[in-house]
Amino acid sequence: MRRAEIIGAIVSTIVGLAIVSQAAQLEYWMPLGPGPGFVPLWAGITIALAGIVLLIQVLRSPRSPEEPPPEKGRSGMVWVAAALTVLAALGMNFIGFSATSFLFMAVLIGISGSHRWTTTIGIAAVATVVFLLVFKWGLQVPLPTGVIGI
Amino acid sequence: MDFFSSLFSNLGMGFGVALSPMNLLFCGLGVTLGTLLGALPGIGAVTGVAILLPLTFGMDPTTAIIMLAGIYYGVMYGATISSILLNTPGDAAVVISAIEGYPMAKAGRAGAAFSMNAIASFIGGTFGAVMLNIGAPVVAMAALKFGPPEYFSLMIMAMLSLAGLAGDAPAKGIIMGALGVFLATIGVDVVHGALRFTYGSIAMMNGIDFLPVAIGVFGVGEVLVQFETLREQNALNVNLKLRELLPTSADWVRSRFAILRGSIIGFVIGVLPGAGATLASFLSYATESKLTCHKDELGKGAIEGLAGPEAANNAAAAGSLVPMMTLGVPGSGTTAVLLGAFMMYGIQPGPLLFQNQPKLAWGVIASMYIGNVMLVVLNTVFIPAFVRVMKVPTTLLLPIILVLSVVGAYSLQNSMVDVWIMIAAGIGGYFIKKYKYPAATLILGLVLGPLAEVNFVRSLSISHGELSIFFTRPISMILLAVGVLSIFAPSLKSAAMKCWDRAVEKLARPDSCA
Repeated sequence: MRRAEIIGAIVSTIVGLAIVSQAAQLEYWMPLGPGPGFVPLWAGITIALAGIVLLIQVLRSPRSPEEPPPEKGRSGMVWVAAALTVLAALGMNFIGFSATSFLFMAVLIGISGSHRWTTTIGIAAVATVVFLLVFKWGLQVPLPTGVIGI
Repeated sequence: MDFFSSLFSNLGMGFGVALSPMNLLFCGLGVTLGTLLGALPGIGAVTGVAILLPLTFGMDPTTAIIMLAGIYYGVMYGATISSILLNTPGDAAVVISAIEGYPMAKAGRAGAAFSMNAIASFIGGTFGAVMLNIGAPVVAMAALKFGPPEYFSLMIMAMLSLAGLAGDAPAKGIIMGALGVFLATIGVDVVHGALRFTYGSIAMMNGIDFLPVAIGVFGVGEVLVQFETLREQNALNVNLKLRELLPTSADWVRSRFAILRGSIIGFVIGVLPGAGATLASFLSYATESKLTCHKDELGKGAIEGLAGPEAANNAAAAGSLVPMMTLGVPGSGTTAVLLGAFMMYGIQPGPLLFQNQPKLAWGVIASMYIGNVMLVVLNTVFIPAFVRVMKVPTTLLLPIILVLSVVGAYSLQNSMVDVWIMIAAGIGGYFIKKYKYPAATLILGLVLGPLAEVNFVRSLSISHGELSIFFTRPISMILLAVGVLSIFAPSLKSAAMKCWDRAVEKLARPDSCA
């Protein structure tokens, strides 16, 4: 946790400094007052300074016993879920919302839980139909259809 | 007298709006969805409002806000169900309810705990609605005197207060708030028309909307955290017959003043920016633990320790709407998302809301009375149904919430750009939550950033570039001073809690229990 806190503080400082360097290219002050660079520049300075303060606080705080890391399978599920979400977003334009949504839910439910395959397929199918009913037909959202056309 | 006659006539108009069939339907839908989401462990009010906001697209703004407000206070009721049966709160605001609620359920008194939750929440929520009713127009009238410097200082105060009170270190809150302000500057500059940080991308010219970020951080981020902590939920099996849902007369006697005190504490704390329902419920529990005549039962199922905090968190939910509706400044994550919803519909909350949109403002307030009546019925008569829903495995729900987040972000502008922003915010949200950076401050910065910038530039054009304008106007100076003091909130909060404990201990005379 301590190492993560130190990394978080350093990343914040770097992000703040990156914002400052980019904002410095915009006009800071204009004849009538602050220019377009004023707010982002000060936002960057604030992030960088707060990051440094956080780093000092973490380094000065007493070391506490390390928390046990989450079980391997569980922490892995986070990245599986995130990767599948990215794949689903990519797939929506190719195979359409309905097919992507069904496949995404079926795979993720199948991986994360120990349900019977009929439950997995059934839930994925019903949820997809409900989403279509609410968003496509109810709210008239033109959801991507892809090559399948649904 | 004039004040009260106009108050009642406005409230009458509000009830006229809230009682229309469509608004009644969506108020009912909002409170039911809120109770359902609240009953699911980990899905709190802010996640519920963020992921369900896209369902209101295309609705009349009044109906949409009535439904979203219904989800907000519905979660407060429903979240206690999982606290009582699972010992796992459905929202941070009901963490304290598990301390007394879970032992009550283990002792076979889940029915009494559920009904006391519903009744205390109803009284707290209705008290909050009454105070919102009376207080909102007064604050709105006072705020009409605010100029750009006061508004700028108010927004800075709101962000600093939330940064100071949320998360485990004020520096983390400041980082999140400033990051939100920076993200809001991406796209076309609203003051000068210049392009900022678009790097030639047409998609980025529209800027980063708050909603994909809110859905990502609160929806996807929360789901990813839940995937990491997946475990079997062992809910207590309870037999809920109607007769067992009624609290005994002894329960009533023990809880009546706790509910009253919780309602007052909750509303006052709810109005303060950054404090919110969680602090209100903790303060109420601290008070009841000092005042109770049954100290030996604390932690083992003392019903007053459940009733007080429940009244407090519901009154706080109503209280937090006062600064949002009257000043346009939210004090919590959920009200920040609600403010974003108002702005999405082209409505600017603030002192002029009650003049420009009286039907919406009073309709929402009136709907809170109706919603609380619906919720007390839902959380007593239909409680067995919600208990069954709570037992649905998380592994079935999380993928559905992810798809809802994706389709919700897409439907904002029918664009995949928002989906990618949402996914990026979701992965960022996972780290934000895991390492306890306050996500609410990020959203507040994103929502208030453009308004703060406009008011800052206007103030400096009034003062011909002199920054002293913020320190020479008394209201502005006080607001900034409160904001700066809030940075020291963790130490101030513990000092205030100690003072409160001492004051309550003095009030708790041993002879009063005889």
